[in-house]
Amino acid sequence: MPYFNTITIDGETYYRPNGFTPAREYVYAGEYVTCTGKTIADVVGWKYSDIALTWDALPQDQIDNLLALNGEAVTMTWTDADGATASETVIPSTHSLTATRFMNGTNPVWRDIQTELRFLNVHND
Amino acid sequence: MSTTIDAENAKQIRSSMEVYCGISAEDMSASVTLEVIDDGSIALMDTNADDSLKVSSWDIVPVTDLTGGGFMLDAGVEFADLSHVGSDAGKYGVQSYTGNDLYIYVNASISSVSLNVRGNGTVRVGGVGGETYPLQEQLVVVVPAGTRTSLEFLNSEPDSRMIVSTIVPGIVLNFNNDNLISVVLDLAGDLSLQDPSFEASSIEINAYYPNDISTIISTIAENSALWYYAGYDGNYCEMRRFYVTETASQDGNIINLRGEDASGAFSDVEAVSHVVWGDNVVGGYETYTYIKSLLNEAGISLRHSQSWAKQTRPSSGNIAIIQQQSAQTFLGHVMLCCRTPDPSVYAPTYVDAGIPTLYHKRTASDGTYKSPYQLRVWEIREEDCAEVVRGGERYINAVKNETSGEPIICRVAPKETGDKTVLEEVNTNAGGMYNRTVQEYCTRLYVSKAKKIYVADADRISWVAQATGVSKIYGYPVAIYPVKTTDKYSGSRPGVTIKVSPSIIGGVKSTSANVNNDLTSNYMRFNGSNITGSFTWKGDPRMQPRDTFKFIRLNGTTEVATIERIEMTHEAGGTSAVIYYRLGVM
Repeated sequence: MPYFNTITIDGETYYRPNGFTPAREYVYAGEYVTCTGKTIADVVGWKYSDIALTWDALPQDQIDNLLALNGEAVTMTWTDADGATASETVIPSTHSLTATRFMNGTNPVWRDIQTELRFLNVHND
Repeated sequence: MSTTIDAENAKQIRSSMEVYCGISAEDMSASVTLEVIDDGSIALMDTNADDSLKVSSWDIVPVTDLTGGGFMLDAGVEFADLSHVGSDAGKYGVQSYTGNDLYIYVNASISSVSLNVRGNGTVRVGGVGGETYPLQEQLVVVVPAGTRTSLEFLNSEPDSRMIVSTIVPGIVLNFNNDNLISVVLDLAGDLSLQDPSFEASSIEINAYYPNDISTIISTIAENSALWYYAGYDGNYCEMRRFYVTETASQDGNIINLRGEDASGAFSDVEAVSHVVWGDNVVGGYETYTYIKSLLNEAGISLRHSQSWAKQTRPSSGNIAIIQQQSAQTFLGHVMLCCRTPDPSVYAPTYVDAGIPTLYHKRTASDGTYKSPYQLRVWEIREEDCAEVVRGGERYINAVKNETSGEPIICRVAPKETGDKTVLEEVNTNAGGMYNRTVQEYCTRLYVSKAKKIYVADADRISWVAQATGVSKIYGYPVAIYPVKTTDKYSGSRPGVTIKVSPSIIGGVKSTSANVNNDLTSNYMRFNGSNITGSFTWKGDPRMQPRDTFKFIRLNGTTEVATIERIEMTHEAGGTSAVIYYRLGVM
């Protein structure tokens, strides 16, 4: 059963980021520009484009896990709108968050979180 | 989806080309003994699997070839018999039940062993605690040499079998797009007009191989075979063969292999002095035969060879003498000078680049004179090219001999009148073998008191002496008539005078009903194009040096040019090439 509300990164679950629809792009090799300005290349496959994950707010336990991602490659899985589950190797890079938190009773919540993410896998199917 | 190189090259963005290459360094002198352990886990295997896991046991027998190549004179050749039932060696290999492991004991005389295996899991050498290798189709494992060692194929997938098809001593590795980092080929040639030489081509392979076999691969013998082909499923270029020149290395997880084509062997070969006929067709035929003997001596087996029925010398005429020189110099010069202006009449050409090819004339078709082994005249559009460079050399207006005062064009005639001249006297012992190079080029070289004369050609004689004493070397020194000290271009244009060392003495232009052949002609130096160029292009792995192509310029005009050199790079899944050319048909 597909889960649309959450994604997992390195086995940990997070709420689905805002507007999370990863785009795809072609990967080219042997690229050169001809004397008439035309680009000639071989298409090797496709990959997901670099993306910035943004959340309006995340609870403390998810923030702890997010900040523990230290730049090593991990696996991210999510469910697309068509119900298919995608699993990709990603490298999380910069995290940025607003340095305030809102205490909702005893549940700390962090606001305006953004994490940059790079997809590594190139697919040729 | 199947596509072809032509279909893809017509596109602006084409699919990634498939590249296959590898090394076959099976150690033929090493031995390996195998024992397959059947503890109920084996579903299927060849009878006597111990033996049939070695490719040498498979029923591979050369079949006679009655189509023109003839067949070898040893007893190992058979007529093709489609009803013949051989053993099943190689039919199944050794296959486990789904989910089961396999156990094979190996005792190899060397420490590297190549396995061809399919399945999921790992291979463990030497039992519990031994080195474990993740399974991949072509695997090199290290075993203690000379010791009976277990190979345990541990299956990790309950739904699949372990299938071992061959185990051979040495290193056999195949690479494809999944593990190649880069393959760079330098398909070399020299179309220069002054002093061309023959250049060997080279290949460099970088591939990802996760197991550390750096010690083992540094033992790969020089001249082990590397192979390469590329293209698209169902449409590949012909396989190119290269031979390892530098020690293979592995840095991190990347293996580096470098090799040269078979022509690398020319560095050990000298073109010895030799008399050929000087006039018309026979001169051309004998020069072509001499090129074949050079290739034989270098140990090059031709993939493509254009045949030519034997031509017989007439009773009188001129001769020509091929001077002693390096094989590379001779080949470079003979391809430039020793041909008719119309290359579809006579133009002896040797091209290697991994596909050793020899032909004596080009195919006349729409003025492009393609090589007879070229698929068709290639077409390259300038609008598909980058870094288009064009250069013009100064015209050559006159050619002189490097040794000042010596003629550049001569006529050489046998002068077999009167008594033979005594050239040298040699003290011999009976039964001894002697070589001499005499001072002058001669015909009818002969030595007295010889039991057997092995070589008597130009200025070289080799013989076994019959008796102890003085042997005399006789011959008729040839008459060398200088014809020109300076060979000049017939027209008028600004240009330079060059000095060259002639590879061949003799052979003045003579017309005959068949062919106008001049073995020392400067025709191409004067009339070959002085325009050269290069460009970056998407690359076609079928192209060879000396192929002709139509270069369709931006302004719509079409030029015919000859490829001098191709530097082709396969990297990161993409392919591109830099092509160097000379205008016109060389």
